[in-house]
Amino acid sequence: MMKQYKSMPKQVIAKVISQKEVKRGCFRMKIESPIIARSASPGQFLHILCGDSGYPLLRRPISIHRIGKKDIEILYSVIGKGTKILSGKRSGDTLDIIGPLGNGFKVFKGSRSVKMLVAGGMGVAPLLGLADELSRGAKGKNKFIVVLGARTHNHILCEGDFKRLGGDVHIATEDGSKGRRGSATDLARDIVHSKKYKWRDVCIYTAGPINMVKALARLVEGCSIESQASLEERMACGLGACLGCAIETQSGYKRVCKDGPVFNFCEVVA
Amino acid sequence: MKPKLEVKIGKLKLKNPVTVASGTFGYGSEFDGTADIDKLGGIVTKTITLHARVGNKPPRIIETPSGMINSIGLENPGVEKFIKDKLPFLQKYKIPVIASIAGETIKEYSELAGRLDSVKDIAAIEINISCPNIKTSKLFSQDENSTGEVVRAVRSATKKTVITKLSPNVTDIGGIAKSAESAGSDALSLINTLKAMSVDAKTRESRLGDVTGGLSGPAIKPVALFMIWKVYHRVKIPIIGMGGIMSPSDVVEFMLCGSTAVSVGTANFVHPNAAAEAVKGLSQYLKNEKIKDVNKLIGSLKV
Ligand SMILES: Cc1cc2nc3c(=O)[nH]c(=O)nc-3n(C[C@H](O)[C@H](O)[C@H](O)COP(=O)(O)OP(=O)(O)OC[C@H]3O[C@@H](n4cnc5c(N)ncnc54)[C@H](O)[C@@H]3O)c2cc1C
Ligand SMILES: Cc1cc2nc3c(=O)[nH]c(=O)nc-3n(C[C@H](O)[C@H](O)[C@H](O)COP(=O)(O)O)c2cc1C
Ligand code: FES
Repeated sequence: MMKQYKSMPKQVIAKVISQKEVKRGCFRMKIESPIIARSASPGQFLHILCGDSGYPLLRRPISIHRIGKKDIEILYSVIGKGTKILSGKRSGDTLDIIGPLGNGFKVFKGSRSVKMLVAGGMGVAPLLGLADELSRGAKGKNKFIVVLGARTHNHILCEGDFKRLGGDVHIATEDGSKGRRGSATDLARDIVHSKKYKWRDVCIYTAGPINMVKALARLVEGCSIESQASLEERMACGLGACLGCAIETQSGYKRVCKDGPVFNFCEVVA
Repeated sequence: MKPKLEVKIGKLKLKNPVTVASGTFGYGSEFDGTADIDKLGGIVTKTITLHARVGNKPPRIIETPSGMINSIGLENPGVEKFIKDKLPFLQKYKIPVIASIAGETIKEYSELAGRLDSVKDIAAIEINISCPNIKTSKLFSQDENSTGEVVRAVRSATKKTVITKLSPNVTDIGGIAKSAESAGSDALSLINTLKAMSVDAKTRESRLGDVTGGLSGPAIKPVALFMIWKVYHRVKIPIIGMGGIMSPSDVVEFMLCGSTAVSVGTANFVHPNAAAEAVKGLSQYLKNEKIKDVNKLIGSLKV
């Protein structure tokens, strides 16, 4: 049976509980919202109004990073005007949020596949929430594999969090300052191809821009048909109405906000 | 005393002047739960074509100062699927549904209008002859003759209220408006988006997959107000004004310049309930200003 993730998005004015710069230019924010926390699932996202005076105009989509009982966390990097304003919020400030939006990751009940979470850069954001869920459902050590990729050892995010949840963490850095030199994608391929695992039994969960996901999906061709990726595209409404966030899939254009953001690998590549 | 909010667009009565603009509210269901749809004066659907259209290559949107550019390319399931799959949801709100249509030929416009004429729950037809995101060298709405021809074809295919949606990308919007009126249009709606581009200096590429698109949002409001003001003095038929409406006072400004009703567009993406909030705010404005009937605002700009 497939776990059903259906929930009605709500617009809420939520309080910022805390915000911390975890790495340079990268922030983790805890937001109070029992309504969203109750109905959210890993891989869904929030549509956040960053400015309050019409600048920037549109909301910004940010993945749900962790789901608490009454709160949710996000993890984001400052790349432009919206995320810059967001990073200036302090505990006690309020945020106008619509969420939870989109379809989250599916964890197939009874599936015996080996779960492998692959994240380059900010891709870790939605995957930690998934790791939370996976760790609750499994026993013992090394419940799932995690492959983290970053530019340097200074850019690696959430390593400790994944380990605490029982993840078998592997690291790749572009400059070789930690773990293997290279990308998360290459490292993931080598792990999948190693003798330890039966290739088609490895179920990959990943998140990031479509080109990275496509590259990964090609490298690990033949892995479990359950494999999924959370994709990104610029958004306006976030509700499935404007058709602005379309991406090209095997079955034609799909809306990232409503048909995704999580898509099955076979949708992304032929 | 509660001010009177009802307005008339042709034969069509709206309980208040605030509608939502084509393409910015999907088919309504997308806003279920985040917008008070039943509070709206009317809903204009995403533009529908005879056959399904897949739309343009991504990326399809980009934010620009106080606005956004889109190149959706009229993605829609086609008229039959619209009637079968999308319309039933809209009916439950008991507000007028205005179907927006577009064709590649005049014959397609008249076929679409004929098909929708037989559908009881469509209150009016908006003829979109002004979408900038389809591959034609010239829009129907960029020429007085072709505007007249499309309107005449639709007019003779339906008894429903006909609204013609105009493009701001013309030299004399008044002349085009006049031509639509003479051809039998019951009302006009303006403005559609302004042709626009956004370029990335670093990659030396357009930020849109289709290279060009249409600009909407607060950035185009001053242009919209001017064009409505101009058209208001050229035609007698009512105008549905739009272009960057974000707040109740924007609605008032559009009515002062000559709009009988308005459409909220891009604002729906920012605040899903923006249009319903505008109805509330408009009512409050009228109360504060001791104006008993919203119709008193239309074209009453002091000059
Ligand atoms: C479903 C989804 C989930 C996301 N989750 C996260 C998350 O958890 N953490 C996180 O840090 N980010 C996440 N993002 C990306 C995030 O939405 C963007 O970084 C954010 O919108 C940037 O806003 P800004 O105003 O700061 O930048 P802007 O000023 O809008 O843009 C700065 C520059 O980045 C480019 N850019 C902006 N957004 C995108 C995009 N989506 N794709 C490609 N280029 C872009 C712009 O073209 C511009 O050059 C997610 C995106 C999606 C669609
Ligand atoms: C994403 C998007 C899609 C649109 N699609 C349509 C459409 O299908 N048909 C149409 O007539 N106008 C369409 N428009 C134009 C709007 O209806 C409206 O005329 C324009 O956006 C100006 O209003 P605004 O500034 O309030 O958005 C679209 C606008 C946007 C932003
Ligand atoms: S952002 Fe509007 S449809 Fe996805």
